[in-house]
Parts: sequence; structure tokens; C-alpha cells
Amino acid sequence: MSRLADIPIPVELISQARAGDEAAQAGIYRALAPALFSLVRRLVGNKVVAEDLFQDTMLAMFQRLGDFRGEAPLGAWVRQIAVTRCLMYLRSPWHRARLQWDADDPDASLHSTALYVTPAASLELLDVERALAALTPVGRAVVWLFEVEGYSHEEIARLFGRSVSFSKSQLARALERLRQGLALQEDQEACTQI
Amino acid sequence: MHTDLNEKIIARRLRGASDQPGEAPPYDWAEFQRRRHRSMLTRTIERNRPVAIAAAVAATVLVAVIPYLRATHSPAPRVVHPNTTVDNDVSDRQDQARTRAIEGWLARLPHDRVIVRVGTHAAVSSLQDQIAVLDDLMSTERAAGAQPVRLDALEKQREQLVGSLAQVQYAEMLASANP
Repeated sequence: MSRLADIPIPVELISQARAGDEAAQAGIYRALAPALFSLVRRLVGNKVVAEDLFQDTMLAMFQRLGDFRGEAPLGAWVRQIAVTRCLMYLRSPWHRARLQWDADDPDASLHSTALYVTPAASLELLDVERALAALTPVGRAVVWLFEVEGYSHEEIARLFGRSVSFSKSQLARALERLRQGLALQEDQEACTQI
Repeated sequence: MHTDLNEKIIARRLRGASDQPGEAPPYDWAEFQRRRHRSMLTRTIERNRPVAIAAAVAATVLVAVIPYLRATHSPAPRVVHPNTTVDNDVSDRQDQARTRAIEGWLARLPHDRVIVRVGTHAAVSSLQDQIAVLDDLMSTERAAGAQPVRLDALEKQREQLVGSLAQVQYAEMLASANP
């Protein structure tokens, strides 16, 4: 699947959607929805919360489409809206309370964070998904924004309302846990094969 | 087997994961449109909530003040002149017809409201109770062979209560339609 910022949306389609053309709006929705939902799900983990944030982002996009100046691809603009909303959620007291509840039931946390993978997915992908699911939500968001979405430490720090060293330390910790998780899984697979 | 995974390999794997077909969005365009319209409606309701509350409070105050004013400023007893009987009969019939029309309108109002406002609900219940008490009283008075003047006075009182009830219900209906 293409990343949100890389999805090409024709300028004419954006103009028509901005003018209120429902067919054009539907076209934009269909083009962006899968990548947007994947990103939101990846950042917040919990599926129900991800559905809410997905809807919020889509509503905000269509409401504010008139403000889009076309300096960056539409997908990148929508990604910025989505990331801001997801990180606001991760910083909210509501999310901290949810973490507390999930801590009492580790299974609930794991199930809600684990992403759907197709049956044809490779073992390597399954390993990555499992390792990602084991990260803290903030660590997962930082590593994803830095390594996949290409955000800088300064941008991540600004989005979280924290210092650059916060972003760097979160990334270092998340990478270390990923490294350990992936190595551990490979060890387990090797033992199973024997 | 232990593999030394450096950051570049992890980054490559993560990007590989992002290229996989992910979970499908929770709903299609049609469902999104439905939710979008509902969200716009909710926002409109939220925006107009202060007006609705003000209308409900005004209606409640009105209903509370009317019985007080009626109690403190009782109208002078009506003097019945023999030569005004025909006019009064016509007027009474018109009042009764108006009351019946109001009662018909009230009966057609939905009983299970979507939004129930506590103040208005209390006022409506109080008026309905007063009307029921008057109905009982009128039945008793009729059975006891009361004077027509007495029955007429009770009937007038009932008409006023029905009128007040209609005003409150109408105010509530307006508040619900333009929340």
C-alpha cells in the first residue's frame, strides 16, 4: 500500500471537491482512506480509537479543504492533520487512563494493538508487527514517524510538545526494544525449526 | 541463531510493513457521508443549545408565574346581565371549541420525546395534574347538581389551564425543532 504522503491526487479533483462536488469528494475519500486508516491505526494502536480518529481526520479534511494551498501533496497535508490528532490523543489523560486499564489486562492491550496481517504475509512481516505491538504507544509513534514517515526529531518534538532529546531518547529505546524483539523471535523460530 | 539487527535493517523492515496491504477502512464513502451529516447536525444542535435552554427556562418561568398572577390578581366576578346571555353563549361555545382544538393538538403530540427537559417536564406534569383535578371536580359538581355559574367558572379555569399547557408544549416543541 502507498504511504499517505505519496498518493497522487489530481489537482482538478481537489478543485471539484472544494467546490462541493460529491463525486470528487468520494474519489478523494476512496484514494486516501486505506492509507489514512493504516497510519492512524499504526500510531494509536487501539482499533476503536483509530476509527474515531480516522473519522475526525476525514471530517476535518473536507471542512478545511478550502484552506489547502497545494504547496505539498494532499496526502501529506492530510497526514499532518491525522498525526496531530493522533499525538493529541496519545498525550491526553483519556489515553493514560486507558493504558492503566490495559495494564490490568495485558491480553486486552496486545489484541487491541496487533494489526491485521494478510494470510499471505511473510514471516518477517509478522515478526515486525509483533515487535511493533510490544512497544509503548509513544515509542511506536516516534519510531514510525521517524523511520517510515520521514519526520525529523525537531518535528516530532514539536508535535509532542516536548524537547528534541525526548524524541531522540524515545527513538533509541524503541529501536532497542524492536532489535531485542526481532532477535528474540528469530531465536524462537530457529528453535522451533530444530 | 542471533542476528545483529542494526537500525538500517529495522528501518527497512518497518518500511516493508508499511507497504503491505493494511486493514480496510472501517466504512465506505456512503457511510462516511451519513456520519458527516449526523456530525453536522450534532454541531448545529450544540451551537443552538443556549437558545433552547433559554426558551425552556422562559417557558418554565412563564408557567410558574401564571398561577401566581392568577392567584394575586383574581378577576372581578363576572356580572351576568339578562340581555347578554346570547352573546355569552356564543362566546362560551367559541371558547369550548378552541379548547377542544387545543386538546386535539395536544393529543397528537408524540408522547415519547427524544429530548426531555426536566423543568418543562415538571411544568407540563403539574398542569396536567391540575386539569385532571378540575375534571374530577367538575364531574362531582355536575353529579351534585351544581349551579351553571359554578360549572361555567370551573370550565373557564380549565380552558386557561389547557391554554397554558399548550403554550408550554408549543415552546418545548419549538425548542426541540430549533435546538
